[in-house]
Amino acid sequence: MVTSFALTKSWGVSLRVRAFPFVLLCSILVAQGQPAFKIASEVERAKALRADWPDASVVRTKSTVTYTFGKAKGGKALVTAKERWQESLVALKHNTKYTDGTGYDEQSSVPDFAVRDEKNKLQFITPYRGSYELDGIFHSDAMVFGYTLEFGTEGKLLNVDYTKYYRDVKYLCTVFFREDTPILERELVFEVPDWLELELLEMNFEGRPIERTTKRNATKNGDIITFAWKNVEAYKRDPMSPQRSKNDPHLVVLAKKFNDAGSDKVLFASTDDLYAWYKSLVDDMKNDDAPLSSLVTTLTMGKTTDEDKIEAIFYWVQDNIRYIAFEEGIMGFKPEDCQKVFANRYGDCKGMANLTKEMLKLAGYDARLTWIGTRDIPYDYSIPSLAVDNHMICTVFLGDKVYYLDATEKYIALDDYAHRIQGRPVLIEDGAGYKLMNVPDLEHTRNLVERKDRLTLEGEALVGTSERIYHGEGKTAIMYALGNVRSDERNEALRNFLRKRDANFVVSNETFSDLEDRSSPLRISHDLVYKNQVTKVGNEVYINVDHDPDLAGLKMENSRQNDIEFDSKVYRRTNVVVALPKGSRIEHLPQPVEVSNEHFRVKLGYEVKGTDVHYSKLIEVPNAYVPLSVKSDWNGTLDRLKEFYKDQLIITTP
Amino acid sequence: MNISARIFGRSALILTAFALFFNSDTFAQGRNTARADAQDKQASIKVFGANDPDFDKTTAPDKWKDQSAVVLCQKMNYSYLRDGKSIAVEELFRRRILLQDKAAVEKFSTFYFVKASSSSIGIKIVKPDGKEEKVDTRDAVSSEVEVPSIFRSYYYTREYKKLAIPNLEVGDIIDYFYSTTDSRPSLLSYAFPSFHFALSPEYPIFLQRFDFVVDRGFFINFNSYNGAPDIVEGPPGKDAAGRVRATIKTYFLEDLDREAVKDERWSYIRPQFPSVKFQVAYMAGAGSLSLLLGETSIAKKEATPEEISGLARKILDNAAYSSSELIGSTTSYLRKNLPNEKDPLTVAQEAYGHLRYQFIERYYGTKEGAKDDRDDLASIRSNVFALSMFKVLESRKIPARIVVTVPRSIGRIQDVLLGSEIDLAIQVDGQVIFPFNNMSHMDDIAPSCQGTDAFTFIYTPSGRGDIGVETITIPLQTAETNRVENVLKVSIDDEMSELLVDRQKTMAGASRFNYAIALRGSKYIQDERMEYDRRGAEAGERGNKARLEEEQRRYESQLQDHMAKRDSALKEAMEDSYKVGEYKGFELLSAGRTREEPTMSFKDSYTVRDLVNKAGANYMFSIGKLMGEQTTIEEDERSDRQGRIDLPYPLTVRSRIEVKIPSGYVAEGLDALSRSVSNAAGSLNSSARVEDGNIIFEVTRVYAKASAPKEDWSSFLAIIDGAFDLAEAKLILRKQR
Repeated sequence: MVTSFALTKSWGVSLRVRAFPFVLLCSILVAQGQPAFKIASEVERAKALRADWPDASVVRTKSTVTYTFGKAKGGKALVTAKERWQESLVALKHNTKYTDGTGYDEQSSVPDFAVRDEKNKLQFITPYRGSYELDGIFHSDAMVFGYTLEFGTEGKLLNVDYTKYYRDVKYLCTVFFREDTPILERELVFEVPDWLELELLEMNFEGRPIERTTKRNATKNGDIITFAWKNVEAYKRDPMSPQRSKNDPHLVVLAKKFNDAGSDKVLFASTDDLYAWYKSLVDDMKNDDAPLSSLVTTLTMGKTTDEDKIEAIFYWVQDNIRYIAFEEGIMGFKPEDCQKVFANRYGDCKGMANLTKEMLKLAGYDARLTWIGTRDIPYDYSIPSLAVDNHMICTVFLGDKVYYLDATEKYIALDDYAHRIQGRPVLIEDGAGYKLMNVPDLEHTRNLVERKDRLTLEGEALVGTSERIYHGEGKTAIMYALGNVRSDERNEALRNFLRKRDANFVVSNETFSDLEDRSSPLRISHDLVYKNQVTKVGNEVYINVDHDPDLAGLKMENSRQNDIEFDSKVYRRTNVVVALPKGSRIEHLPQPVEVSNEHFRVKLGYEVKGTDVHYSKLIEVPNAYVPLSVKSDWNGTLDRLKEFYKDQLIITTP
Repeated sequence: MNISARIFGRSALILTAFALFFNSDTFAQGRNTARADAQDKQASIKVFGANDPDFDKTTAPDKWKDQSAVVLCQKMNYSYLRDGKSIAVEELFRRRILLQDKAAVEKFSTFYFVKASSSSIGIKIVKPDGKEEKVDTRDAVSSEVEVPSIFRSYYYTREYKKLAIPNLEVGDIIDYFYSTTDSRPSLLSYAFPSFHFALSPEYPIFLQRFDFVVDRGFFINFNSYNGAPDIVEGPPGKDAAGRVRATIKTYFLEDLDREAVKDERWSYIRPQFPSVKFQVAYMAGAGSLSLLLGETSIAKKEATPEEISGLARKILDNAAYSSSELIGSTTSYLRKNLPNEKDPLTVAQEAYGHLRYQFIERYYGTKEGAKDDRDDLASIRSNVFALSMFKVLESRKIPARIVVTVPRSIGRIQDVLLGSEIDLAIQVDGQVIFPFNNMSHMDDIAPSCQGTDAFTFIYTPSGRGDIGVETITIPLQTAETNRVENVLKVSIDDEMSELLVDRQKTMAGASRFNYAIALRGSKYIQDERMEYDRRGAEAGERGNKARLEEEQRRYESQLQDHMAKRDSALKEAMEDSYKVGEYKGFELLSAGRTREEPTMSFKDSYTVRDLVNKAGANYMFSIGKLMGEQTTIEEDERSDRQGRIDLPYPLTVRSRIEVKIPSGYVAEGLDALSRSVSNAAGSLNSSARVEDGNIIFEVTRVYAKASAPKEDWSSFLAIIDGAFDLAEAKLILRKQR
């Protein structure tokens, strides 16, 4: 046992330290070799690169990814693809370790890997291959291939060479330019044989110096299409960044058809082909709705309107089917049979959509499976690619009305739509054909969060009551979170949420409306004590009214590369009434702030009404999106907000 | 404050890597599916078919109706039998748990279990109408994520599978077991992992029971503490063939109606709440396992001071190999450099210093910062330290005694039953000297042991003579021993927006070990080398000049990185309290690594944003925030304290904050900075005044005791809340007219 004076975190300061068993020391000592004596040119190289990229520890001096294509063996109507990575990486600091790799799955592999130094000497680096748990997915075939380069000395260059094989080109969907290091020369090379019709869609190229050239490859009967970009800045994911595909340059690879022995074979030439493949998977299901029928009867019994019946079924699936996803092989695309999802009481989005559909069909409704790409995806169904969608829901046609039912979204009402699917194009099954429609894009007012406080001064505290009303996204999020907290810890969780863990903010006597009622807003009221917000100096009293400096911390830093995307559209309204002590006089009110444009609106100010001061705050981000292009306006507004929040309501008392 | 006691929170199960007997699957190729299925089926018939009436319960007591889940019954059976030329060990764990809310359903719907060739699993769901549904475990998949504690196996800990449990609803009971069997040649000796865990669980338990079956040749250490039920001997057990044998002993512990224990801040669970310890070993002939051995197959519940010291003796024996080189080198150093010194403490101090140097050189290398994967604070293993010191002093004929201690977080020395509970130190001329780390000195007392009883003895290898055990008490530390002093000299920039701070921070006693990172850049290792191995150090400076220059240049570059991480860590440590802009000018004034210079001290400079803000025509200055991060106590922690208050050590934090008042302004509201609290837990005193155009704000917080009864919790709150409010206090800087 190690006697350790080490304490994890003591007395408010965390400088974590850990004891180390003595017996391991010798072996560690032996393992440490002295780095080789270094040549001057490496020093110069590192120095030069550091001058251009002072924040980088590794720079790719050259990075070429070459795509070649072949026909699958064994008479399969498939095209295969090889993605060969050839990169030269240089360390800018001593003892740099750099880890990189790629993902693969049942449809791909990464068998070849080599690292060589500048003298072409093979380096003994064993790559890691292992399963990878995707966030929120119970089990998948996702694997990770990774390697770590240990450079030793600054300026050292290592050449990495590996190839990823795609068994079917339809899984090669998007190709990005940037990496997590700067790249001096990046090339994406596509050797496209004449027998293959391949389209490369250029996404987010605007303002980027990316050159596309095409030349003939006479020896291989095809074209070589090269995209070249020099001095590429490292890709960085900022806080609240949108998905990378929304604003980072990349290519969408569309392998449309190929010629085999004189005849054309279609891959994904159009959305028809994409749907045909999806339909083949759906047709392969073996749904048996018999086990569902008695439940459907029970759920719809006594319901008089269609909406009530649909609602009953939709809510039952929401409440009783847990989201557990197996994304292995074709099950990443094919829905689980309805009876299995029903028996298991769990499933992924496809399984839940399928169960919802079958239950609604049993109840006599026109319900259909529906493919959709959530808001994370910037493409629509004009692009025939697996990259277009990532989710499945169920659509119900009821007369002129169309309802899009996403049972993975808990506590959502019928005819209400989660932000992540709002406005998104959908592909709805329609027999041999399909329909293309759009989920309604709801106004940001759907997400109204309203807060009304009535406060008085008590010593150094503000004391009073608060009423909060949550609609839309805020409501479902709270209901879901509280529904999944241990019942013996629910009140504490609610209090922590209301206080935002601010130790000055004490909540008591909280009451809330029915946590199962999806159709009404969620109402929470409570008493509050907001400590240490009143500063008295002589007969002057400084009062900090707003404890929630909304938006103030979201300034775009100079180094930011990405737009800001909120989880959902923002619409928040706060009204606080402060009853002033008798005989007091207002000395100062913070200057109001009002800014309005298409991306955001803020309006904050104070008003005196009799012996009360009324504070109001309106915050709107109607598209949930603030582009980097409005950084100056955004930051300027946030500066004003910050100043406003820091300012005080000042009164004098008799 | 977040003190390490919190890691011993609810249902803490502390495993010690003593002997990994059960990890037999290290080289296994995974379960053969057909065999595993048959194995599971057979085990299910045996376990579920046993019709144990304790597992018939379907309802929870009414008092637990608001709990997330209730364990209706859980039993742990451990069997250690001889079977011809092998020994057979079986573990069977069964739990029946009623899921009372969605959170519990969600938790158990992803079910984890150990994956091993010798293990079996069985799961059934009991619906509210009594209908039982067997769960098919064949769909389980390997899990890469951290397994929630409630699913963790006691013996096997290596690989787990996870299973999505179908058709699980609120009101269901999940009844499951796992069993593991292993067989090993009886020619060898084995020590199985030791356990010490609190009976206080994550969920309340209606009934829990431990059963042990122990054959001849096995030794079992097993006892219960702090109000846990006693261990009872049962009727003779059965051998592998099912025959009752008088030589096979059985023991059990049955615990009823156990409430869940609230996870509390600053509370050592095991020394104060009902807990159980056990460890089993198999001895083939004369062995040398570091265990307390009683009589074969008879549960050993207690140990005398002589036995506990004997256990420590074995632990020291085990350090002989690791220590020999250290002992030889230090003995030789003393012979050359201190040939005639007779004073025990002088020799001990030199021995301590040289051993510490050897340890540092082996761990960090010969240059500070040359290895970037090393922790800033590293401690020697206590048995290696104690044996090395003892042997070095013995070579100089200086009498010394080994000291056996038990950290406060574990319990009392009188209750020691497991080798993993013990730490070792050494006593010379009445002074207890604790194992070193890279920045400790000989007078440092391990805070984890302060105020505890300890045994001392004179070491001879096991089996060679009497060791003369005595009892001593490790001295208590005072709050002044572990003090932190901050002196901040602050000015406000012309724009009235940023503070410019020059800080000097001084730390004494245990508090300085939190700032081991401040040693970075001091090159203390090179200094030590010059002191203890000048010849080696100078030899390293000879050779090809160009090569040496290049090496030095490269090292300096590494050192720059090393120091940059220090600066960024020190900056980050302040950023919980306020936003720090530029950080610069770090200078170590005193390393605090010697008896002569026992405090660590450094100075630095930084800018702070957002503490001065326009308020009307004046400025509001959040001066209190400069005190640094304060502990916040949540509402649910305030009442109904269940356990003692255990801090790592008593502590004094003293701050003097001098702020130059900007020209043309006066400071108002200084009264808000005066506090005076004094109670059983300690004190909080603060004052503020204006002197020569400076605001002088002084605060002293004292936490007088490392351990206090729960009744003192309100006194702690008075100090903590007072300091929190003080940190929220603001001044007004008024423009003079």
